[in-house]
Amino acid sequence: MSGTVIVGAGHAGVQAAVSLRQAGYQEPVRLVSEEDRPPYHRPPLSKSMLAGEKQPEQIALRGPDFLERNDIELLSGVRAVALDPASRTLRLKNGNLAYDKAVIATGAGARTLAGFQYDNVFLLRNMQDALALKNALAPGAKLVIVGGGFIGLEVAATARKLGLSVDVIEAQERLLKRAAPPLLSDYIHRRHAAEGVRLHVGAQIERVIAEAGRIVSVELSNSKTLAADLVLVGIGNQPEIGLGAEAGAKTDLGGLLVDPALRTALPDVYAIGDCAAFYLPAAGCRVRLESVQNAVDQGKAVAGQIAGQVDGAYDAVPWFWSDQFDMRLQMTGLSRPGSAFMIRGDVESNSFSLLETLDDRLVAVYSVNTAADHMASRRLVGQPSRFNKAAASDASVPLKACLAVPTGRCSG
Amino acid sequence: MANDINITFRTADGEVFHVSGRAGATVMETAVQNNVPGIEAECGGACACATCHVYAPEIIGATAEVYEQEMLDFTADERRPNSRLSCQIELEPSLEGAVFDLPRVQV
Repeated sequence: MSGTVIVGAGHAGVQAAVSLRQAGYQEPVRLVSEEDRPPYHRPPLSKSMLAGEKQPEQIALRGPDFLERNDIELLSGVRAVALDPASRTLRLKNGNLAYDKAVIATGAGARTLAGFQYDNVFLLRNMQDALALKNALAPGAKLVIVGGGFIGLEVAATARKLGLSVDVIEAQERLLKRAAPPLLSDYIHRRHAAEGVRLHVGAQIERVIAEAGRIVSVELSNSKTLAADLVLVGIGNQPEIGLGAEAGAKTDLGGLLVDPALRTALPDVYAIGDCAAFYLPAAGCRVRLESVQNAVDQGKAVAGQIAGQVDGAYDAVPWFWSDQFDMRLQMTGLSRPGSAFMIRGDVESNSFSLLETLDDRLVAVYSVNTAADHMASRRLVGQPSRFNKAAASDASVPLKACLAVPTGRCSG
Repeated sequence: MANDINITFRTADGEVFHVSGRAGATVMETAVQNNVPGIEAECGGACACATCHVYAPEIIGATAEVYEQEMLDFTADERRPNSRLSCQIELEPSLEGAVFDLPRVQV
């Protein structure tokens, strides 16, 4: 038996390997990683690791000898170049690996910006990126961030803490447009502004001025000029789907399309994590999610499929978090068109939630500094029964006590 | 190492793991680095997932902040008065010899 080959050793790939062993899978498990370092947690790369509060070894996904002890072979610094489903072979830069099952967990790379090839332009996706950026975050330096999404805003917060001057340029009319409702965008905008971040929303970059291979300033179309010592481009991700797509797998939403069992259109080839597109029953539509939760849950699910322990469809409620300044943002579920929002708690107290409902069903919850609401929402969102909005509007009533019970009544 | 702090994890089945970590590392990180089973720590220490639940020794005291307290209401196993999220406890010399009990499940 050739066992299972997993391409990519991020959250999804490592979880798949570990879960295979936990499920009692006896065949070989190989993890192929392009990076030449042990697997690590990615969220701290824009936060505690970047701030110097955590060292790289503190954010390891597992202990140094964990994989070896669990008979998981890590091939690090190895690039997979092609997949041949007919012969069940993964072609590496320097050799071939036979497989019975292959899992593509290659994640996504940072999107680059045309015309931004300068020595002081940074991207942030992996540890190498983070270490390079960390090295450049000198107190007093002027950082210009292109992109007002999570990466941009988390780095803005970290950089302010480190004493940099920070400008954020966002082309859309508000921050986090893809992920947050307007009220949350506005709140986050105000908090960043209060912390001294200069935010330029609805702003287009007219041109950059460079000297000796480095950007020295960025000109906006509203004729503002932002001086820059360094520039971070945080404009989203590009899923790494080459292996599967070139072998003939179907694609959608920029990812490899998988069925409810996480299988691509290629025989015995699965895709999980940031690079997978799938129908999510909890959301009622096809999605591609970039989150730790989705990576971990799909890693567990694919292991169950391969080990023969699971035959159900993948259907986890998505959740996500971001830490910026003193804001712990936690989100559950996915926004739907035509939904309504209500505020729970007091926005000015910096502890509140936005509840998103559609036809009296709770579809998403956005929490700021309210762990109880977030944790409760992970049980409530996606429930088919009605949600008691009247009860939930009173922040003194625990959200968990407003479980959408089949009768449609609040249970508490 | 000379400055390492020794702590013990005890699983629900009574299995014992004697490990050490340096001051400033969290109890969660120390467990992960030493392959202690039963600490999932899916969020990596962001206090976002409640999968690094431990039953803490008395010496820790009631030091959990409000946010952690709220998370502790949603642990997979029973919450007890000494329940803590181990990503929120940093090792310090006073914890030398401390014993942390692990719940049966984290997810």
